[in-house]
Amino acid sequence: MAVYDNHHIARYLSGELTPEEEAEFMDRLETDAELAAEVEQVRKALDTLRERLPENPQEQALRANLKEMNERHFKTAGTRVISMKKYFAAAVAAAVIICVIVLWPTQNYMDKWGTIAMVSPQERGGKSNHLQKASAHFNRREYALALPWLNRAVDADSSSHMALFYRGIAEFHIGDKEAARRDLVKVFEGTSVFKYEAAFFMAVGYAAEKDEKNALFWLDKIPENSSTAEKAKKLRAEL
Amino acid sequence: MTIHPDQRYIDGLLRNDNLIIREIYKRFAARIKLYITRNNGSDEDAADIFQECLIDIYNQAHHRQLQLTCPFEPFFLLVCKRKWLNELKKRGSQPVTKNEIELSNLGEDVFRSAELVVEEEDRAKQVMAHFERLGEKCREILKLSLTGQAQEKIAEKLGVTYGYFRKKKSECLSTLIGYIKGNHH
Repeated sequence: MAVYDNHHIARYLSGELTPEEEAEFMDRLETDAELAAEVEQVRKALDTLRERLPENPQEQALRANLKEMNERHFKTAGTRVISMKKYFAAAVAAAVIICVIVLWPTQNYMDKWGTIAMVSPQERGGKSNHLQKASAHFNRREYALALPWLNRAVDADSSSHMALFYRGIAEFHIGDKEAARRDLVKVFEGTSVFKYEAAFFMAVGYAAEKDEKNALFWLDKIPENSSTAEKAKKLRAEL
Repeated sequence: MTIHPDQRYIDGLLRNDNLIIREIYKRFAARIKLYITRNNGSDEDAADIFQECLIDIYNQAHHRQLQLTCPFEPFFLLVCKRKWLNELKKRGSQPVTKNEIELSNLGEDVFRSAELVVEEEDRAKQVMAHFERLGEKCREILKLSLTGQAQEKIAEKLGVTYGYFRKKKSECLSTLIGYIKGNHH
């Protein structure tokens, strides 16, 4: 039985075989499953090359767009480890800056005021499975993991101000300020027990951005007789 | 088979639609970052995997008419997870199995669709890598041959005789087949 090498397969796929050679090779493909699989593998590879060798401006545009999005959403992307020897002076300077930041009274309002525990639904007498799962992550400060469960809770009951409130906080922590504010404003406009807490976190969000004016605007909305008043007072003093 | 309404994400990638792409990042970037950084990866790895998964999905949609029959969320997260596990394997690292991505709506079609994207794109990348191993002349000859132009015209364009072109083309293809089959080094 003839043994067909790579060159013979190449000639077959290029249409270079004589009619007799081609007929013989095709007969063999009928009975030799291994050879048929090899030819199929090469055919698929050639299809891939045919598709992907021509430049695709659409793909290039998408890549450029994704690169930009990556820089926004994966902030440290592109950083490189630098040589300590070469950049010793820079490293010392950086260390001094870090020390100053650490020793200076903290201005990171979100870290200081933004970390709260999520009341689990059992404690509140609720039955929401989504909220239970969300609270497990939320209380471990795994906000990105809590978020999908909070989304589901809101999808299941869009009137749940509890889900909206904690989703707003989680969104703040993962840096999605726009969505966070949307949720918290909705909670503030309602009449739930989270109303003034939502105002407080709006203030914390602005304080974290050093936007004193808006932070005070939201603190002003918290009445003195509410349970949030005490910490609102402390935040106001810090501002 | 019914197309899932989340096909809009795939269509958005095909159109390079900013709103859809922004939505994908907002919904999933933080989760993928958390998953990868807890599984022996860095922020840069997470960014690369996220981007490459979206490009893989785009390629499958563009070249192979991928259509979503399952929700996008578990499908995309599984593609990212599978791709990262493959990357860890290449690096010889062990995944931290307790840090799983939480997934819901996991039907058989979700696994099948995600596996297909990762496998097909891996295969395509291998083919491209084999092609890159060829010499410059071979790459040029095969690239032009695959455009479907008449061989005589290509030979003329390359400034070689038709006979030489046909012979060289078979040789180049034979070398490529060797690379693909893993019996040509």
